[in-house]
Formats: sequence, C-alpha cells, structure tokens
Amino acid sequence: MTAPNHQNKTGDAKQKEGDGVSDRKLEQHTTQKTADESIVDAPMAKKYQENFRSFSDGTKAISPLVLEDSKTGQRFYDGAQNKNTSNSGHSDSHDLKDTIDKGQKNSSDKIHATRDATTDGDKQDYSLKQSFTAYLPDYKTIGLGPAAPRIMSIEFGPSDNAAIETHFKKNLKTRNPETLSDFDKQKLHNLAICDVLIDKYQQAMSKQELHDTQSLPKQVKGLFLAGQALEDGAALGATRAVLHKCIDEGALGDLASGTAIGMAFGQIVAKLASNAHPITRTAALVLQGGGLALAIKQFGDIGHEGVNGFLNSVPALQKLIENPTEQNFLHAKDDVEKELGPPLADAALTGLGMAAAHGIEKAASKTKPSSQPESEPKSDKVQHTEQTDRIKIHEYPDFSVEGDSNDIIRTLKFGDIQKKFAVFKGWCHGDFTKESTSPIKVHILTKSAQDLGRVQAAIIPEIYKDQVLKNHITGWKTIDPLYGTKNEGHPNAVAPTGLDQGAKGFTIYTENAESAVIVQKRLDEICHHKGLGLEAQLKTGNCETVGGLSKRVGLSRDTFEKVLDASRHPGSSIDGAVTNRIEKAFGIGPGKRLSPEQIHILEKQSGIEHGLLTYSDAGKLMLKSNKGMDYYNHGWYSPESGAVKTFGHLTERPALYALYHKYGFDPCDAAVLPVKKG
Amino acid sequence: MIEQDKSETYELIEAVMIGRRLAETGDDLAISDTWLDGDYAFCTLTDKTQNISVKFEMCAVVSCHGQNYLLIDFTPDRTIDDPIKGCMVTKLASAETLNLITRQELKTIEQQCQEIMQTAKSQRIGGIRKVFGTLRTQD
Repeated sequence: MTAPNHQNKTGDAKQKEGDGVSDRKLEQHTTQKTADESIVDAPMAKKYQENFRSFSDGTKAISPLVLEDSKTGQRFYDGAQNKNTSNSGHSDSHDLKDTIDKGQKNSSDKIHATRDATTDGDKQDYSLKQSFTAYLPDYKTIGLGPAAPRIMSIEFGPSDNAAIETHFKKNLKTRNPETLSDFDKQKLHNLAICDVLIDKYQQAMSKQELHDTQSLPKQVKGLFLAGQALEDGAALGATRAVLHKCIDEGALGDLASGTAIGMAFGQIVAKLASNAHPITRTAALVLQGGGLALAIKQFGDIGHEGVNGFLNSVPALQKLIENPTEQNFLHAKDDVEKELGPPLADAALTGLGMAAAHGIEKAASKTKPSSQPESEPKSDKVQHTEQTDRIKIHEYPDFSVEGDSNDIIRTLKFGDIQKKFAVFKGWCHGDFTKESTSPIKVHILTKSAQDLGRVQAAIIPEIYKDQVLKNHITGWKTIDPLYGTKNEGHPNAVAPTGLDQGAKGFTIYTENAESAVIVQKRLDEICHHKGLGLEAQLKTGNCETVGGLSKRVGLSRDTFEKVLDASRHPGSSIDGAVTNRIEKAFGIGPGKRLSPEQIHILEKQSGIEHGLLTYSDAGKLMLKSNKGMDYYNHGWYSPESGAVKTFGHLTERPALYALYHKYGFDPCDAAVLPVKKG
Repeated sequence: MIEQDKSETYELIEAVMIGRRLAETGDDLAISDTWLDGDYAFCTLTDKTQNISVKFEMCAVVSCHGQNYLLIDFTPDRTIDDPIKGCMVTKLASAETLNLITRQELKTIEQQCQEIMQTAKSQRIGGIRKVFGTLRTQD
C-alpha cells in the first residue's frame, strides 16, 4: 500500500474518484502528515504524552487516531495508523489525488467500479484468514459481586466473511459512490466487522438467556426475556451506534473522560484483530483510541429520548411477554436496539468497557500478532496463557467404566485409551506425578451420580489430551466412577451427593497456586464448552470459590502459614493484608495489637468459635487449630472435614474463610497468598 | 502433629498408583531415596516402565513370615483430608526394591498391618529405620 502504485489504475483508481475536497483533506491529514510528525512541547502534548503529534501545516494529533486541524478545529480519523507510515513517499493518497484531478469517469461507471472494487474486483483481500475465539464477559454480570463475570465465547473467523461482506454491501448502499475513497471503503469494512462482532455478541447472550429460561413457566419466561431484551437491546444498540460514529465520523469526543473504557474494549479487539488482517485491526485501533469515550458526550441526551424510546419499544416487549418465543425475543431486542440504543450509549459502553477489561487477559492469549511488534515481554505467565490458545474439545461418547463395586480396580476406556485406577480411601485416584506444594486446589463440583458420570466422561479424557491440563496437573482424584454408570460405588467411596465431600467430583492438584488458577480457568472453559455449566452455583457447604462460566469449577485454599501461640499451640496465620484491614477497621495503629475485647468482637462478627483467634508468639493474628496438621515445609493445613460449620462456632477452614470474607478477601486471591520463599 | 484417632481401621490395598499408571501384582518399583521430614518418613519410588519417580510417605514396615512389607501412602498434600485412612502394602525385596503383592498375600498380613498402623508414629518410624538404617533429615 505504500509503494508507488501508478500501475494499478483499474479497480483502485476508479474507486478513488470523487469530488475530492473532503477526501483530499482527509488524506492529507493521514499518511503524509504522519510521515512528517514530530513531538512538541505543548499542553496537549503533556496531556496526551506520547500520543500527541503535530505537523508542519498546523495539524495536530489529539489521540493516536485523531487529527485536528488547528485552524478549523475539524477532526479527522487518522487512517495512517493502519497503514505503513514509513517515509516511503508515495501512498494511496497520491494515487487518489491524481485520480481526482483527472476526474474522467461518469457516475454510473463509478458506482459499478466501486462495487466491483469492494468485492471481486478489489485488489485488497479483506477476508478473515483464520478463526479465533473472543471471550467477552456478559456485561450484565460485571460488578455483581466477587464472582467472576459470565464469559461468553464468540467464534470469529473465515465463516464470518460472508456476513461481513453483506454488512459491507449494505453500508455501501447508503453512501454516495462518487465520494467513496479507498479510505472510506476501509471504514465501511470496519463498520461491517464491528456489526458482525456485535451481532454475534448479541446472539451469544440471547442463546444463554434462552437457555436460562428453559425451566421457567411460560408467564415468568416472557417477563424474564422482556427484561433481557430491554437491557441487551439498549446496550448493544448503543454500542453499535457509538462504534459507527467513531469509525464512520471520526468523532471521538472528550478523550479525557472515557478513554479508559474505550481503551479496555479497544485493547481486547486489537488483540483479537492483530492476527486477522489490517482492516480488523483498524477497527480495533479506532476503538482503542477512545471510541467508546464518545458515549460520555451523549449522557445528557438520555432523558426524554430514553423515555420515548422505551415507549416505542413497549409493543414488541408486550408481545414477547405474551408469547415468549425465540423469534419474539430477537424481535424485541431488535426493536429496543433501534429505539433505545443510541441514547443509552454510555451505559452500554461502561458495561462493555468493563467486560473487555475482564476479558483482556484471555483475549491476549488468543492471538499472536503477526504484523505488529510485540509490545510486551513474554513472561512465563503469558506463555502459560498462550497455551490456552484454542479449545480443542475431545469428545468420547464411548467413555466407559468397568469394575465391581466391591473391588477397588476401575478400568476406564475412552477413544484409544484404556486406564486402570484404584478406589482407595474414599476416592478413585488418578495420576500422581508430583507432590503438590500449592496452597490452593481445584475442585470440580458435582451434584448427583448422573451428573458425576457426565462430568467424568467429559473431563477425564481431557486430562490426557488437553495440553494445558497436561502441563499443569500433577495429580487428581475423583469420586468412584462406578457411581456415574451404575449409581453405586465402593463401600468406602465418597458418594456424589452434592454436599461436603460428596460435592467434590474432582480434586485436582498442581505444583503451585499459579498453575491451580490456570487449571481452574481451563476446566471451566471445558465444562462450559461441553455443556456442563450449572444453572446456579451449588450450595455444597464447602469452602471454595467457584467462578466462571460453568459455575462448577472452584478453587479452595487449605494451607496457611504455620504459627504458634504463646503456649506453643499451632494454627494458621491470618495473611498480612487481611490483618491490616482488620486492624484498620478497629482503629489499631501500626505496631499495635487488637485487645482481647476487640478480638472477641471480631470472633463474634465473623462467627468464629470464641477463643480461637489470638496473636502468635511472633505477633501475627492467628486462628488456633485443633484438627489441623503441620504440613511439614508447606505451612499449616487447615482442614475442612470435621470442622464446625455453624456460624458462631466456626472452626478451622470455615472460620478462616468467614474471617477473610468478612473483610472483603478471598483466601485464594493472589493479593493475600504469601509469596513463596525461594 | 496432633495425633489421630488410634482406633481407626485402615484400608489396605495391594496396588500402587504411581505416575500415570496403576502398578499391580508382579510389578517392581525401585526405592531411590529415603529421608525424614518433620514427623514424616518419605521415599522416592521409581517406576522404570514409565521412567518416573514419585515421592511417597513411608507409613510403616511390617515383618511377617520372614518378609518385610513396606506400607506407603501418597504425600500428605493428597491424603490429609481423606475420609478414610489407608495404606498401600508392598513387599520389600531389598532396601532398594519393592514387589507388588497379590490380594491373597495381603490378606495373610492384614492383621499385622492394622496393628502396626495403630501404633505411635515415632514407633513406626523406628521400625522403618531398622530396615533402611539412619534416615537423613530433609534440609
């Protein structure tokens, strides 16, 4: 695109013809200016730092993607950002300028040529070349509590090229082909890509919501779906409107007020797009530049427009309530989107921005930029997450279990694999390759024998096939698999009851906490992809943190720093961050301790048995243990089985969890986990 | 460590889950290391068929019918919350080699195994020392 291009005068030349004023100006403010950029010391430069650029003719960049004419104040989208902006001289803009000056073709030719250029006649290949999965959290589940938001996976790839092309052609019809430049065409493609992405996001939410209503009575179902339609339609419509405005009009508004949100969403799309093709990347960059920030400007418009939009949406919602079919659901969403979308833009953007922020890590792991330099050093952690690249689900409908309930041996067969396990001490023990020194373990929950059978058939083959699981799991045990097939197990085996030990369908061990988190995420993805998600989180009575899509895979911390009280009684140290917060809440200054009365209040507040909280001989707040175990070099194991779980008399692990939760911490949170020595 | 209930019945099995397979009757495992760590005695067992070495807890040694049997368990990270206590019973062919026994053979020594597991841990470690000599202490 940057090399001299006079020989390509057919498709490209024709499409670049137009009246030229806006196009020329636009192009001047893009490729040529970018090549001439320099950093200046100015208030704007200080405000936007490295994003600020100015040009010799008075144009300045107010963001990485927006140029502003200092004389007229007019702003332009900096298309050069998605082109090669080296000083190679010629670019498409020169060809465009030449062609415009020549101004030879008539309108019908131009229309024809333009349309050809966008499809078969185009020299550029806009098609997506490979698939990737976007993990976008359901924006409605953001900020509802400590649990992770619901994540929806959205496949995006070559199979979407037809839809993108359809959107592109549709957008094309709304334009005057005479003024259509190559840059305009790129923008239309960006719009089409954004539209398809949002359509798929909408579809994913609809699918999930319809699934959620399966067990609801018809009347309730209608009301539920109407509520979803109203919320989704408004949110997604608003987002779509803003993205169109950002991409199409280059109107980015006040960057200072919403850039963070825009950046968040932009970042995820940029990561996703970077492995696709330059046009998608352009869309991502527009978003990253602050596109979503535009919503803030629309805040004042919500008032009467919102009311009118809602009233106009009522008929479709009413119809959905009366007849909650999938068709009416989608129709209602569509209506709401049209009526309520744009005025409610800011809410949608906030939601999506936050959602994107949650999804960035996963998105980053999805793609490896092929044409952009790596901006981040590759830490071990990144490499780990990159291994989660694709979900390759291995289906084994032939999964089978052989064994006698009175015998300890179980033979499992799936695919070409046959493995023997032993039921021992209540559990069926799987592989055991390395001792676990992680303070946290992974649990896959189960609620019944039938459910256990489904989960085992889905998960056990993955343990042997999935590279992420193979890399990080050092051992595992599960409930006797005979329960899943024969509804009976070994006499000593834990039964799958959904409560206490009987809820732990799998216990999975890793070498360290980081691996446990990676495994938890991966298993959650697998459970979700295999349709094993639970409608609601199980009330197991266990201390664990269950999050993610499936509501089935959790983390549980069992080991804490070992300390001794003044009389050498052992127990678990309360992590420093938690102690600090507790002491602050009681107004205790640095170097001072809670009084015995304050400790008693703390026990009462947290439901802990009186007399268990104290300070260690080293001055650390601790929970005395009567059942725990010195886990040799790994700390103090705080047991769950045998612990009192009644509020007011909590002991051991349930007491620790209650205390941590009371002060806003999760024991598995990296923020509180002690740093491992060495 | 806080002592456990001494009246517990232990589940005893003749198989050993090591690495990625279940070692059964007739299999041999090499003892490549033994040591003490706090209240625990450990060994490293090597399965040459899969070229893998795994750490196990050594629970006790039982002498019966002129043979020494080594009772082992998974490391505490895996066993600490088990609802039932138990051991994997193996035969010491030498201080470096374990044989996996038959279920019938296990039945002949079951009583002795249960009895030894009811004794104090220090006493059991003393019995281990008799076979393996002085165990080094983990740094």
